[in-house]
Amino acid sequence: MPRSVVGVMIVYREALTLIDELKYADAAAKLERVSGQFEAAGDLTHAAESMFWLGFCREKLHRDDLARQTYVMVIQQFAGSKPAEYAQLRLDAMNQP
Amino acid sequence: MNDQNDTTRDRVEGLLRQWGASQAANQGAGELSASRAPEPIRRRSRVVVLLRWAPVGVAAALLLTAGVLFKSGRIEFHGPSAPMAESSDRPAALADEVPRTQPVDLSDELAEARRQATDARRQAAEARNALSEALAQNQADNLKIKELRGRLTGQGNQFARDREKWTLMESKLTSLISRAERSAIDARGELKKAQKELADARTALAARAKPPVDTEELKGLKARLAVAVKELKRQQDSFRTAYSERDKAKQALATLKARHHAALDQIRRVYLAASAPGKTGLAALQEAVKRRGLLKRCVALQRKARTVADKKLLGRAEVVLTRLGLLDLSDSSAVSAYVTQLAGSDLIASLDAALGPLAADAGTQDWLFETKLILTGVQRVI
Repeated sequence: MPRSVVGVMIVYREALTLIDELKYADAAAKLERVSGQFEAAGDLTHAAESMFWLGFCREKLHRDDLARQTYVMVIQQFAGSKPAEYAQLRLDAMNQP
Repeated sequence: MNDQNDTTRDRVEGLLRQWGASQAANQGAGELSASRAPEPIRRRSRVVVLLRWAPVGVAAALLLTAGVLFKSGRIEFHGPSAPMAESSDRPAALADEVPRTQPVDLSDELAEARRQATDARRQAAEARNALSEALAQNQADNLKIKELRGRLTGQGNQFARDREKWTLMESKLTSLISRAERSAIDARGELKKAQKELADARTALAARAKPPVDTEELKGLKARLAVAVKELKRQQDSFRTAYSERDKAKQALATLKARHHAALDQIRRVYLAASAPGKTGLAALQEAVKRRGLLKRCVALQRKARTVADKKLLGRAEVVLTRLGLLDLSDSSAVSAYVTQLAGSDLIASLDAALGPLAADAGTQDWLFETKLILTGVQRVI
């Protein structure tokens, strides 16, 4: 793992722990930073995952429009990946009455 | 081109009819003239003969031309060898064109088509059979899962009751042991005190340098010592019994837990065989989460959940299942972090508690149970 990504990975893991504890606002604040940093470092797997979790946090915080936009971005930018698949699943669930 | 051939044929026939008519007219006229004057015929000039035979020549030439044209038309479109020679140059749509003038033997193609149709029907029948078998297998698996689930739920309830009983017993025994230990300590203190008093009395008696006369005091001390020793023995026995009982309770609880885990493993095997056929380990668990639609069902349950505690439990389980689904199994550090985090959480215990007999509807029970199977599986497969 490149050194530039190690620090970002620590923040990402912290964000996941916060999500486990259902602290979505704190997790979202961390994820907003790391997704772009992963992408800049060329780690697209974690970029996609962190963006998905950002959408998840926004959904849980009832920021539905923003959550949808984030999920759509995951689907478009990381088509064929697991996070894209799960983003589609969340979108479908959100669209159900 | 067929139209063109027909037109040419019509024209030739027209010309022949004209020629026939003119011939008939000429013959009639000739016969009339011959009956009247047969001699002048021999004296006719060459020009007359030429004029008389000119239409015949023209007709013959036309007939020949038409024949050649007709033949060339046949060669071009219906000849036996031309299509083979030109087949590569002709458009695909014309390649299958059936010649009109020759019968084509399609029996081979027909037989081939029939054979293909038979094959297709056979394959469809095989696919239908395979599907029916798979559905039947799936149904059987579901029934087995349901039956095992029922059995396990019964066992689980029994286990919960037993655990409660044994935990209570263990707690009582621990308290008894503490009391026994305290009593033993007290008894030891008493014993030491009595021993010391006895020793002091003996020393005092020896210091008097005369045979013990105060036997009453000595008797009293000995009696106190005997009581203290007896009490110490009783406390030690009680202490040993309590320890032994506590060990038995612990062992019974461990056996119960092992039996429960074995039953859970058995049902998980059946569950994964039905939900994630051909997969093992974490990959099988990921597939089961996906195939059983646990996340979709969780969203629906969250909408129905009434209490904050229920919503919180479902939310926590949803996060853990989503993380499992997203887990990159080739990333060992991510897998390790996930497993460690799950092992450190009380989520499975919370699911257990929620799975009690008073839990909500069957849908919720099923979801909780399946989630428990998956999450306990994470720890078993690593």
